[in-house]
Amino acid sequence: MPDTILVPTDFQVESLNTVKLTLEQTSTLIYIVLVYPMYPSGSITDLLFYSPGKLIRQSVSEEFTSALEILKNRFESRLGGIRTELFHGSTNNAFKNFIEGQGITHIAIPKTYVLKTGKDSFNLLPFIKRCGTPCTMLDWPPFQHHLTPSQQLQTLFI
Amino acid sequence: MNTRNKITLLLAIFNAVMVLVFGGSVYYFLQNYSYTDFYKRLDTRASIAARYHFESDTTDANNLKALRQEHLEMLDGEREYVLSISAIDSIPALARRNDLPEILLRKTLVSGKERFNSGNTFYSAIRQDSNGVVHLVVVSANNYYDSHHQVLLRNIIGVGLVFTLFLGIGIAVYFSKHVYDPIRQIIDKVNQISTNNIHLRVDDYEKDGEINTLIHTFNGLLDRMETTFETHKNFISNASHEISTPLTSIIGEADVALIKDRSGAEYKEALTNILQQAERLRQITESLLFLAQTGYKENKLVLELLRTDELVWESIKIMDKLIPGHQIKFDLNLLPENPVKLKIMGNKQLLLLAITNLLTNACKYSANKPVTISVGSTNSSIIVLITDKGIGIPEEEMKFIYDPFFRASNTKLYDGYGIGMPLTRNIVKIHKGTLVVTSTVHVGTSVQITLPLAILS
Repeated sequence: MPDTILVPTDFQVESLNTVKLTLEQTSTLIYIVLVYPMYPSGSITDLLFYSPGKLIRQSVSEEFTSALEILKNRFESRLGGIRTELFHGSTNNAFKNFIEGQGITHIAIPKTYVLKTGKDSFNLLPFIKRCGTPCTMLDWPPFQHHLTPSQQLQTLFI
Repeated sequence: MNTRNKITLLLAIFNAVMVLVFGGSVYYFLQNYSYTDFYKRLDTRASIAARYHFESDTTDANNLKALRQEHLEMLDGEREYVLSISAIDSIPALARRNDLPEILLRKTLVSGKERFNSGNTFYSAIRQDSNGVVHLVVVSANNYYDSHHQVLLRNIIGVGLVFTLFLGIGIAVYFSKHVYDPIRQIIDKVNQISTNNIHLRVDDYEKDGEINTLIHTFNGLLDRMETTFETHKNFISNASHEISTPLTSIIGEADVALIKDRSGAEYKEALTNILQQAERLRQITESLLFLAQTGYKENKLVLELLRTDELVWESIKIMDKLIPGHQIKFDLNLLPENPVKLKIMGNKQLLLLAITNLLTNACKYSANKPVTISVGSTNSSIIVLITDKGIGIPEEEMKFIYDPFFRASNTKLYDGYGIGMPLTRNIVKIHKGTLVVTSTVHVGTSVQITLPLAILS
């Protein structure tokens, strides 16, 4: 059974460095699950027509998609698959269930990089620290330029 | 006809048609109703008359008569006829005597109940058989409503129609004028702008709306035009400056050498200096020519299938000759595993020129600090990223970096003419790629080239 690694993301290209470093350190086939923590919508119509795929497509930028493609092309033989999931829960048990449901064996989180939380998302780190699944911290030098969205792709090339 | 008049006319016609349809239908339906209503009133009178003349005993008859006089108003010119028909032949005579239309009497005899009108006089007739004799009860009256109210209504509607028509035209004129006001203002303002005062902009009209979008579009266009004008102005002044500097030193050197007789060694030195400057002049004109060529020679470009990593290795080899001891590192961390994802269609010479240009810049402006060149590929394009830790480009000068001969304010200490970046951009552009430059002063610069992947069948 290949490893499935959970990586929290904020849909910024820089957060994908965790994936890059994870893949660089492994030599066996692994699966990656990117998780974006998101508050469920309060609107009844949104909940009625709930579609995680649509929500993800709305939040993901073109650069993020390109960056994912770069990673897939780079680690074609080691990366079994990479998928993006939304986590809507608010309790530790919900997160444990999520991990069990997704078949996660390992978690990788950034050490210095702070995942950005927009107004619709929250910090996943407290859940990760308390869930009991083995967790690795990965670090890369912080990026110094002030970037516009079209310039973000270079944050992957550190 | 201009748009304003067109709008006025359209609105006026629309208005007129609406009022006409409305007024006409009111008139038509009211007239219809007045006929029906008046006949009904006559019918009531005729049937009551018939009843008190023939059906009831005397007490009832008197009661009915009293009731009728009490509750039913006397109509204008109301008359009541009770005719006994002895024979069909007597009808014309009867009609003549009572001044009644003959056809009405004939029809009533057949149908038993009939309505008729001649001009403004309306008739209602009932056939009543009693004791074997045929009687006809006829009630006639002038349709007061038809003669008076109808005319009044016609006049009101007519006057109202004309009045609304004029009002409509007035509103249409005002409306079209008001709607076109902002556009006229924009036209006036834009007409004021010429090459001398291209810094002028159209003022915002209102908070938001289509007009404001138009104004913003105009202003954006003006911004771009202004930049182009500036570029042109700068280009001419920079180009003449760049070309005149070596020329001045050539002339000066020759002048000084010719003042008096000199030894062979001195002439040699002077000529060497002249040669150096002339060489520099040739380089400038050559690169200018190259810049001009890459600007428009898009169609004549010879393309071949290239591997990006090979291109990078080759340009590093060229850099070895240009700047010995450089610290360029080819970062293979994100190089795709599948070599197909490295293939691009391009002109090798031009792409090498572009990459070496950027690498030279990176080495030059960072005083030979380490430079990283990385390659990665998405499913549709190749990304080449060149990162240095150099002096950077001031933020406010970023928009000028593609202007020929432009040199950033912090580059005084470094040699160069400011042709490299525009040339590189032209090369990337003719390969249908994009160039993104990110820079922070004292931190460094990174240049990202995105080129489309070759489509391999």
